[in-house]
Amino acid sequence: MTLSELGLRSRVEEAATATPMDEDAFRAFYERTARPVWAYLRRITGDAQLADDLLQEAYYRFYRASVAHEDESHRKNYLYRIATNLARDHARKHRHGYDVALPGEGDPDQLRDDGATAVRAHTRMDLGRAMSQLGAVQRQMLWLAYAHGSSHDEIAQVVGVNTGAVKALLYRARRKLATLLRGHDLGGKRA
Amino acid sequence: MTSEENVPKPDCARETETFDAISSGAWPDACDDSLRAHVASCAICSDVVEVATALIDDRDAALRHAPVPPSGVVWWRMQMRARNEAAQSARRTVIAVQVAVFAAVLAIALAMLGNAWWNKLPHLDEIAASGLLVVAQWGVPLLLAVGIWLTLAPVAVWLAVAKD
Repeated sequence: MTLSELGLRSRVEEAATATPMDEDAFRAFYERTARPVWAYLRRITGDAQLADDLLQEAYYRFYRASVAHEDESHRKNYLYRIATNLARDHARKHRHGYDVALPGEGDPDQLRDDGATAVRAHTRMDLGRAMSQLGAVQRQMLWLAYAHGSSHDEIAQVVGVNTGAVKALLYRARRKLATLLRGHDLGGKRA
Repeated sequence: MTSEENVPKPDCARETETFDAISSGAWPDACDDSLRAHVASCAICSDVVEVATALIDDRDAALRHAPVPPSGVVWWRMQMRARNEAAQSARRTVIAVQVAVFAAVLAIALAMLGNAWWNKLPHLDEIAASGLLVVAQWGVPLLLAVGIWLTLAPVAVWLAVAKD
């Protein structure tokens, strides 16, 4: 069953087919997905602390939604959709800005590592700064497409846009991020 | 910048191939020369390389250092929260029943008081004489009781279904 089909199901139908995940199934699913979901939340919100909070809330809502009978791919998409909606709701409620983590923040290994790691950390800071200049939906789409490897259909389901619009939106977001990462401002000048 | 880069294109036929090379770790050294040459001349694939390499590196770092709590702790917290929410829901139902019962008792008490007060009015005999004895004796108290019930019952229902 696809995510869009799930979206069309009534609450009554969902309740009738609800099957809570047992502990073993949930823990195995959590072990497979928690880190990627945290990384996604961290990058779309720009706030590691907020990502911690939203992660726990996302899993709780996922658990209460009782989608144990669905396949793995559907469950993952559903979890990402919950996480995306939580981040969006939080941004609406709190008008939360996008924080840019400094290299080494929350990552002690980076502070005592070699030069190559420091370069990578600096690149991540650049990515953080560049991402902060994108819209929330652009950050979500880019992460899902390139860090998560999602298809256009999956992106559409998670972000809540038409599948047909994903290609154009992704193109614009990618163009913007690539320009920023190359050290140009959006007017075309080198920063 | 080449003339090819000046023309905006929505997509490129080798975009997926480029991304696959990056995500599999083949880019740039282990992929074929034609792909490297293509990326050098294609604005779309050049952007894909720029963006995908940055995001994949960021993802890998985040996956290594993501401070996620152990699954057992998360499961335990979820169970506690689910129990608390169930208890809260049960408390709301109990309160709703209590309010409903209190409303009923209050309505009956007020109806009885109203009836007693009505019976003491001097014009009762005139109304009774006009054939409205039943209404005079029970109609007003009954309306009063129904009015109170209709006022308080929605409060009870709201308490039962409202969330914090």
